[in-house]
Parts: sequence; structure tokens; C-alpha cells
Amino acid sequence: MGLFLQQHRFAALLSTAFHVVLAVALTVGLNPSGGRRAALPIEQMALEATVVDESLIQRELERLEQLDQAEVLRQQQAERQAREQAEAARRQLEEEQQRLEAARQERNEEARQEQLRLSELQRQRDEAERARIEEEARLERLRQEEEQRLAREREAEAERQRQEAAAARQRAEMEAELQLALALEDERRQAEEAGLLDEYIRLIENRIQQNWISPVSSHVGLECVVNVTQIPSGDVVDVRVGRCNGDEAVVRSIEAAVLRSSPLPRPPISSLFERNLEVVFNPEG
Amino acid sequence: MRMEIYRSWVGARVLTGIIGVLILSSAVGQLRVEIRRGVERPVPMAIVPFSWEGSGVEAPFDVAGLISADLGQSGRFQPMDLRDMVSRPSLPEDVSFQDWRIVEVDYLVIGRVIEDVPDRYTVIFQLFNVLRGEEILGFRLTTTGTELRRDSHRISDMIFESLTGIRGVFGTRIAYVTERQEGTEQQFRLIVSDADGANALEVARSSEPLMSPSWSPDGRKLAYVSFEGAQSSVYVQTLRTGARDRVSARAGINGAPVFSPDGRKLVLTLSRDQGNVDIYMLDLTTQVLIRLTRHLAIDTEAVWAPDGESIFFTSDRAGGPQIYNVPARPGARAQRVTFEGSYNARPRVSPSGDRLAVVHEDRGNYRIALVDPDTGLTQVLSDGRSDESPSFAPNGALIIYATQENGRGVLASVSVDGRIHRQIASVAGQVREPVWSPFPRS
Amino acid sequence: MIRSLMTLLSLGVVLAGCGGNSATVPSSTAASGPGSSSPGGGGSAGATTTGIGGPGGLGAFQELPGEGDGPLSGLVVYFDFDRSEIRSDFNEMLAAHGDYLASNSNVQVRLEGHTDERGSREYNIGLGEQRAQSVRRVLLLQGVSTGQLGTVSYGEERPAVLGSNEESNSLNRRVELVYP
Repeated sequence: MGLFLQQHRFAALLSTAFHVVLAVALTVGLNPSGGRRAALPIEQMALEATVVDESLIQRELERLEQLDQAEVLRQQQAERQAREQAEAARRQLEEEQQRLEAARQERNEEARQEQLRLSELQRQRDEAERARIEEEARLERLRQEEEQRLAREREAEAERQRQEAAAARQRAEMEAELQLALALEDERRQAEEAGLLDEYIRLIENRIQQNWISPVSSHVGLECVVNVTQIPSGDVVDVRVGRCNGDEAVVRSIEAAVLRSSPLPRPPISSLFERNLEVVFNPEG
Repeated sequence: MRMEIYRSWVGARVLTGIIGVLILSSAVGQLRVEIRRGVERPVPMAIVPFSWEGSGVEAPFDVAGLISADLGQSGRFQPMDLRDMVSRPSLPEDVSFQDWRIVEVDYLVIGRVIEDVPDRYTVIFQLFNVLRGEEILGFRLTTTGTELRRDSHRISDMIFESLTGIRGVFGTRIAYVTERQEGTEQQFRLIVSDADGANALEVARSSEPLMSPSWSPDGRKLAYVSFEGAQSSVYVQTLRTGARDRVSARAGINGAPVFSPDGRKLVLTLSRDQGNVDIYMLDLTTQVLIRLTRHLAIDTEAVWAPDGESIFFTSDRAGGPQIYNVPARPGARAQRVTFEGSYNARPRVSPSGDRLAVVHEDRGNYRIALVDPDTGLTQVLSDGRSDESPSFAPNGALIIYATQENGRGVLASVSVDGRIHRQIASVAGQVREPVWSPFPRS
Repeated sequence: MIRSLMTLLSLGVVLAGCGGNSATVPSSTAASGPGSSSPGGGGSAGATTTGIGGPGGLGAFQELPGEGDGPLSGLVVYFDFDRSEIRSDFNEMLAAHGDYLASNSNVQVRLEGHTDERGSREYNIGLGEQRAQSVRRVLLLQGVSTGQLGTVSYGEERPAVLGSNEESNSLNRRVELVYP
């Protein structure tokens, strides 16, 4: 709290001044209706009373003149005495009341000031507390943001490293495959030069040709493609007729020709093996 | 810095990928194999005798035997000899495809005939692709004793269409004329039989010539020419009842009747106008007669195009017989269709309307030829010396015609590609003028 | 029956006149033109002049269609392949028939047209009809009335001779004059 006041010196000062002014104003200022009555001087009252008595007396005199004057005077006296007594009593009562009232107000005023002071202190304490909490929260937030930022950066870094590693692996694999393909390519090229690929193709062609029962509807100009998948043993594992300008009998016959030829002949050297074949049926006249 | 690393990493990957694919595809990819010829022979298949479940030792009809005969007769299939069958399965679960591969059949038919109650049978069959080891077709039908033959032909039709894509004609009929010496007389008969020659029925008989039968499109009637009474007349006869109407007996020729595609009219040849041989159209309901050609030349042998809009006919207005086409209404002009060779006559139109079958003179021989009506291009199909009267099967794949064998008139058939030739078992005497029925309507 | 009787009678006449007139017999057919004299003289002339129909008009010299050696004896006209024109060597014969029919208006004749076996049947019906019509026209020109002439075509359905060679074919391409 002290630190707080120190840090907010000007504000504290202003606040206190304001409260002092307020207290003074409250003490000096507001005073309800009871006090005003007590301030009226006696004389005025007596005057009033006299004025009233005179008129009454006049009236009374007039009245009594009509009646018994002695009675009237006696009555007048008695009434006057009574009135005066009442008046005195009343006055005393009023004074007492005023006194009590003043004392009460004084007490109230003190209490009120005390209350004000206390609540003012409380308020100041609350405000200081609030400010402190806010500040702490703000600092906490900043700390957390900082932490997160750091965490993200770390993770991005880790990811980058992973990807680089994967790329490196990929490159290595492709490299290896390329090497293998190139090696196969070399071998194959040599084999081709030796005419072995041709021989392989002829072997397959002869086998399928022998097995093709060509239907009557097969004609010159017929062109049908069968896509064949084989495994290294030569067994045909998939036969699919592609584009074909022949009728149903032709389609069935070329499918049968390929299936009947399974297992297909093995190539002279195994690197020539080809998984996918495109078999084109194209009878010449 | 981050973005740049990422971009270069992706780039490297793509680049390697492309290079890899290029190399691998030239090395891998597909091997191209070219097949230049095959062996032309009928497709081998096995039709196993159907099993029999019923009273009596055997089924009332040999269903598998008829299917075998049908498919073999078509010239496209070679049914396996029964004696070579090692096993005779009748249930799919009993079929071992490997066994059938060994005996080199491509397709297998098995089946069962079951007697449900006397004279009511259930026939079940399956058609298998032996090389693929798969069922292609399976079917069940119920029938009676008298219908077993007809339903066996239906099964043949189903199998045939499944394997060739062409509708089968095993359940159709043919009509033809026979001539035989009986005693001192020649007897002419008009016969209707199944396409395989079975169930032959005599429709008309005469000691005078009978000619030119023509089926109504519903297959219920035949129009024909008869010379009974020493003059030619055209009759229309209802097959089921035998009742007939004489629809034309005008002075001179009454000949070459052909039903229109809607069955309501006949086109025919008359010479009532001073002996001029011309083509007329007769409405069978109203009896209205409309003249379609008016020429001093012989105009005859008219036939309808399948759309019923025009007529093809023979005319020698150019000096010798050629084929012409005229719209089927009076006053229309005829256009010449054949230009190859000096003799083209007796046109018949394929069911699709894209070809004519004609009698064409080829180096001194009369042969059946196919003509494209739009271009006039002609292709000779048969190879006899005097072939005549061609008629298309309703699936358009076959032509039946009359020819001579050792001086006797017999019937033969040829596939429209000219590859399959068959001679049909002939009866005693001369057989001629065959005409193929439409598909049965039932 | 009557025909054969008449033939016998004529033969008898010839034999009776035998040793005399050698001009009777063959020459007439070859030499004579239409309507010219023949030794049997009375035959055609008699038929022309008397105008009375029926056989045995003016005596035994009258010939009937299909009999004797005269132009009337021929009952068949032959044709070239795929043609229906009358060849000139049949002119005399047809003239004779024309005369005969014109003179005997109650005689009817059926002209039956035929073809050889080559080609398609209905076309041949048409060809046979054209041949019969050709003969008919010639006879009409001779003065024969339409009511006497009937035509029918049998195309290739009733060959005279069986066989596929040209000789058989040539004998089948014909029109027959069929007298009742």
C-alpha cells in the first residue's frame, strides 16, 4: 500500500484534498428544518403572542363588555397565566429539543465523516489492489506469449530438420533406383543389340497366334488391343480388351487366345521380362 | 528463409520424379506384340448331356443333343464328341475347369431336365467360359413334352447370342417347294418346316406348278402362286387352319406375291394390261389395286424395303435384267440399283435394309451376290452354277438359297460374310424356292 | 383319234397316187411362201376359199395344225436366249396358223410360253409371257380374233426336255400352240 501511495503521490494528494473539502462542506452546509426554528428570537415570538393577545383581548373585552367584566378580567388573567406557563414550557421543550437535535446532528456528522473517511480508505485500498492484479496479469500474459513464441520457433526448426532429412532420404532412394534402372537399361540395351528382345517378342507372338481361333467375322482391317499383365513365371494375371472394332465373337476370341497362351514364354534373359504387354490383333489378308 | 527452403525442397522432389519417370518409362512401360493371323476354325465347346430327374429311363427329349446340332450347324462352333467327355457334370459345383482346359474347349454347357409332374418339365442350364473359369449365363425354364424341342432351340438361341452378339434363328421356320415324280405325274408341294428341317408340314399340293411362297410378317400366312386350273393365281393361306383366299386371278400373269412389312398389302406381278408384265400393289382389305410400273419391259419380282416406303424389283428395260427401286406410290420414277454384270435379278432385302441379295451372273454361272443399294457394289457369295431364290434369315446373318447338286435341286445356306457354307439335307425329288420365316412373335 | 385317222387317210391318198405325182410330198414345205401353192393344192387353198371351219372341209388334202409336213404342222415356236422376238424362220409357220384360225373362227388356241431353266423363275414367267404375246400379236395381224387366243406362261416350270446343256436349253425356249 505504501509503495502504491508513493507511486501515485499526486493522485493521493488530490484525493485527500477533495475529501477534506467534501467533509467541510458537509459539516458547514446542509442543516435540515429543525435548526431554523431554533434560531428565531424570543422577541419576535412575544410580539406575535402579544399581537395575538391584543386582538383576542380586544375581542374578549368587547365580548366581556357585553358580559360580566370581572369575570372577564379573571378569566383573562387565568388565561394569561396559563398561556404564559404553556409558553414557557413550550419554550423549554423547544430548547431541549434543539439541544438534543444539535447534539444528535453533531454525533451524526461525526459518524458520517468517520464513515466517509473509512470508506475512502477502503476504496483506495481496493483500487490499489485492482491495479496490482491487472499489472500481474499483464506481466503473466507477456510471459506466456514469449514462451509460446519460443516453443513455435523450436518446433519449426525441428520440422525443417525432419523434412530435410526426408528429402535427403528420398533423393538417396531415387538415386538408388536410377542407378538400378540405368543398370537394367544398360543390360537391356545390350540384350536388344543382341536381338534378344526381338526374339522374346516373337516367342510371345507365335504362342498367341497358334492359340487364336479367329472367328468368321474377323476381317482385314480388324484392329483390337488386349492389355495383358503377367508375372515373371509367365502366368497371365490380368487380361483386358481395350479398343476394338470387332464384334462380340472377335472380342471373345482374342481374350481366349491370350488366356490359352498362359503361361507365356519366358524371355531369354530375365532382365527383358516385361510385366505389361500390349497385344494388338491386326490380321492381314 | 523458411519459405525458400521449402520451395527448393519441393522442387528437388519434383525434378527427381520427372527424371525418374522418364527413364523408367522408357525402360518399363509396355511391350508391344502384334498378332497377324490366327487359325480359322469353329470355336471348340462342350455341351454335356443334360441329367434327367424323373420317371422313365431317360428324358423325353435330348436337349443337349439338339443344342449341339444347332450350334454345330451354324458353322461357328465345334461341339465336342460325347465319347471324348471324361466327366459329365450337371451341377456348377461339379465343374472342374482345369479338366476342360486340358481337352481344349473354350466354352462349356451343362444342364438338367427335371420332371415336376407328368408332362411338365423344368430345364436348367449354365454356360461357362472355361478359360476364365466363370459362368457367363444361367437360365431356368418350364415346359411341356411337346414344347421341349422348341424350348431347346430357345436355349441354343440364348447361347449363340451370348457368344456372338448375334440373335439366333434356331427357332425359326422355312417354307419351300418340292417337285417329285409320282407315277405318271409330277407332284408339286409347298412345305413348311423348322429351320433345321424337322416338323415338315405340307401346306399345299398340286399336279400343276406351285411357286413363289412369301411369309406374312406375323408368320401366320403364306402367299403363293398356283397353276391349278391351267392358269396362274395368287393365294393367301392361313397356316394353322389351311383356309385360303384367292386374291388375284386376273387375265394373264398373277405372280411373285410379297407381303408388305405391315402385312396389309401385297406387291405382285400382273400382265392384265395387254400382256405388259408390270408391278402392282394390292390392298388385301380394300382390294384396291395400284399400278407401280408402266413399261413395255418385264417388271417383276418386287420386294419391299423394310421401311415399307419403296420397292426393289427386276426389270429388263435396259436390255437385260437389272435391279431397280421405285417409291411405293403411283407415278413415281424407278431408279436403277445394279450396274455390275449383265444379269441381276430376284432381289431380296436384308432385315436392316443395308444390303440386297440377288441372283447375279458371274462368268456364265448364276450365283448369289450381295449388293449395296446405295453404291451398287457387288460381292459374290455362293459358288454354284445355277444358284437362285436367295432369302435372308431374320437376323440378317445368313442367306438360304436353292442350288443344284448332281442334277438335283437342293437347298444351301451361306453366311453374309461368305465364309460359312452349308448344305441343307434335302428330301427326295427337287427342292427349291426356300423362304425364311420372320422371328416368331410369341 | 380323229387326227390319226386323217393321217392314215392322207397316207392312203398319197400311196394311191404313188408312182405319179412326186411333187406331192416334201418340196412344198421348203419352197412355198405364205399362201403359195402346194401340190396338195386343195389343202390351204381349200381352207381359204371355202371359209368353212372344221376338219375335212374340202377333202382329204386339208391339213390340220400339227399334222403333215406343211407349215401348219409345226406347233412350237423357238426363241433365242432371253429374247421374245419371233425369228424369221417361223414366219411361214405362223402365217399358216394365222390363216387357219382366221378361216375357222370357232377354233381356239392356247399359246403357252416357256423358257429354259437359267435365271430366276418369276423373271422367266415374264419372259414366257412376252414370248406368248409376241406370237399372239402376229396371229392377230393375220386376222385372227382375240377371242380365239389364250395365253399363259409357265416360265421354266414345264420344260420340254430335261438337261442343262445348250441343246436342252434351246428346246425349252419356246411357245407351244395348243389346240384343244
